[in-house]
Amino acid sequence: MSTHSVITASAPGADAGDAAKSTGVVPSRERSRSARRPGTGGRGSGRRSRATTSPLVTRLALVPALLLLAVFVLGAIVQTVRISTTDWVGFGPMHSVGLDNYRTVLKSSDTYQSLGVTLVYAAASAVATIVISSLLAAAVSHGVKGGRFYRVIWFLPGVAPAAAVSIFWTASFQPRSGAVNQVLGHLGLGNAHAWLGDASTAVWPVVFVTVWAGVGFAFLLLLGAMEQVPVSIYEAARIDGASTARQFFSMTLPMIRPVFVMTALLEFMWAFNGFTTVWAMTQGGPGTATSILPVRIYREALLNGQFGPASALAVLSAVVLIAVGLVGVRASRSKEA
Amino acid sequence: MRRFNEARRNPLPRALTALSAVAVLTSSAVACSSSGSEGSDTTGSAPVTLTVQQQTGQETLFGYFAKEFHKAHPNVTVKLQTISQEQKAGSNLTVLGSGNAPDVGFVPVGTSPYTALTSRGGLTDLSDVWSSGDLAKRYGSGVSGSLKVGGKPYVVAFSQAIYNVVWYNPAAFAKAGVTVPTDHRFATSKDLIDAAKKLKSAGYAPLQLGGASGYQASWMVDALLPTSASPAQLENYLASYNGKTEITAKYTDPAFTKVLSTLEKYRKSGVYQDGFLGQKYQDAEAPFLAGKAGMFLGGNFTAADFVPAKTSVKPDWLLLPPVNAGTKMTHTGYYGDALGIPVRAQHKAWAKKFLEFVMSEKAQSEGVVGTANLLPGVKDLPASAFTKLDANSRSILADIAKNGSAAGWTSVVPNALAQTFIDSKIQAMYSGRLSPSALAQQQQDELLSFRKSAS
Repeated sequence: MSTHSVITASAPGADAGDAAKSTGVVPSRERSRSARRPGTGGRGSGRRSRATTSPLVTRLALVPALLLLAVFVLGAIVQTVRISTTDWVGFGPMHSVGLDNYRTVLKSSDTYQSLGVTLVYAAASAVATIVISSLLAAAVSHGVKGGRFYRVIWFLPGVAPAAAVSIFWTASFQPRSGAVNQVLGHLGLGNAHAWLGDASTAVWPVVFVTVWAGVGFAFLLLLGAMEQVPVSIYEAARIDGASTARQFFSMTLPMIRPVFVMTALLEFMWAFNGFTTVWAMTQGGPGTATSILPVRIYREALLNGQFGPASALAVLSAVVLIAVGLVGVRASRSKEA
Repeated sequence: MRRFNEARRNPLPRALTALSAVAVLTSSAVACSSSGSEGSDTTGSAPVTLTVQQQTGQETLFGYFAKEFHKAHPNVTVKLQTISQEQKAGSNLTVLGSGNAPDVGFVPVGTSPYTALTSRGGLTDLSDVWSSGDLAKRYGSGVSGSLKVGGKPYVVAFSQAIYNVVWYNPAAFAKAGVTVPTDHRFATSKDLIDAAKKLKSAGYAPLQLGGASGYQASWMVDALLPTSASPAQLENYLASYNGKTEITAKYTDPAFTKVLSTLEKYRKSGVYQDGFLGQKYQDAEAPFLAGKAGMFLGGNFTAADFVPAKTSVKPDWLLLPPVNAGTKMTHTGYYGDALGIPVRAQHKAWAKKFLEFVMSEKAQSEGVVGTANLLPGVKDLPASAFTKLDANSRSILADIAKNGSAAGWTSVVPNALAQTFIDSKIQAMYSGRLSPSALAQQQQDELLSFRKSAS
């Protein structure tokens, strides 16, 4: 209560630090934040709002958002789980089949093949995206010439519609007539590569397009994090004789670790749940070579009318993704605390 | 434990649960109250907006239907709702089953929407439309049987599609030294393979196939199966998905495995273009229209792309060689592009009137044949109706009249067992990841699984 009184006594617009200076009392949480993150301020406006708003109003204000969440998120999840235990064909009544759909899905070798493809696609896309975007962000952050121009250029692919991008690149990867093969042909590397038509190579053009489209967003996130690193640290490192590479690996990356891990995690999850690029480029083929889980779920549900097994697969893939997400969140926090 | 106790003291979660329940119940009630109006009266002159689905590529035809129907019934305005080729075989089910379903829906036979809606009472019985249009007789017994479920018709097929037509470029054949087969037919597999080799040597791509389309890899099964299986075997392959039909022809029998082996032989012999498994239908068609390929696997509907504005190629047509020597290859027919009336349609009576108009002689001859250059769904049109049809289509029709046609296996058997299942398997076979015998075994296993789940 005393803390509230102290903070509400401060002038509007002043932050917790100012309030503390004027009263001589520093809230313990604010103190620790300020100590950990020099330069970030540790603002206390949120606390001030809570002090002036009654708990009932706060709760009532949450109701619309919670209702939306309940209907559109929780409702969808509950319905998916429910369908996964039925023989629903997309229309008409649902008849419960217990856990039969889960047994069917878990017994099918196609499930594990699909999971394998999904993991390869998601991991390769996430790793490549994060590596490339880190390098680009580091270059701009270190003041490479034309940095402002590159910020725009590298973000542009992320703005283009995924379906249009996929169609463009699909044409580019065609043997002989495709731009990629023509460039390779001019370099003496042959122009007849059937990248998308060969089951052993088809996933890589899809990874390439996913990375091409995704680098821009990751670049912006990482650049934002890198620009928060105080310049004085780099100056000290330079005085100590640290090379640019050493600065990047020993200082930049550790200092942006939470953002770096979360960005990598987001890229992995987006690719894991990706559909548009894969469907537009290969429809999961040749055969099942690029049949990632979302593609398989789509085929099962909408092309085969097997909504039960498709929903079971969706639930299981969500479990896998949640597990991966929890590991990622833990990794991002482990060095942050 | 602390969080649990907090939740117990907090009334908010319970209030939210109650509110959510009210919201869900209210939305369900609204959905129920807005569905299922019979709309049985077509005698009044009150304005009516009839929503009709059309598929991409057939806008001209449906534009004709809409215009002419409005002319005949001025109080009815037809609002066209376009769905894609992909939607009609999949996600359109959610539209047709919704409370906001169109009055006339596009429901291709054999697709997942068709199977789901007919098995769960989602489509209106069209016995009266069939009766008033005498459709059973005008379709012919074979076709009308394939358009019924449990003896009742739920759709009308407004057009017949012929596929597995091998379009060839006569100029490319001449330049490559390929002798044009007689009677529009390759006599043997060797002839096809030799033609492909000569075309490649002359700098042309051989047979263009959209292997990534999701349907073209399996099309050729439909063409080859009638030349590999006996009539009795073929009949059983077309009907055995129904659990009540005894399986007398297995997919592991030579009649089916020889088809797969033949396809694999074509792939190994370089009959298809480079990278065909990474190309969809349009990707495969483009080089043919540009004069860079000798052959393209299409259908009678491809003829619409051969207008001078699109290509300088003047193509002619061929049929693939038979599997068993001495068997005559025939055209593969598809009567699946069909229209139905969802049970939740708002204006069912007007929708039935619309379907009666679509199947009338006037709409079939003026619209389907005359406007869209497609083949009619019915078989009783007078010869004069076909004068506007392009020369190749007339030639194909004449060949069908002389030699007959065969219903495609993937056109009749539900997609979940046929096209959707086998297409990716054939792609895997073409990729060297599945042998023809292993594929045949998987097809047989899927048949047993399908029959079991359907029962």
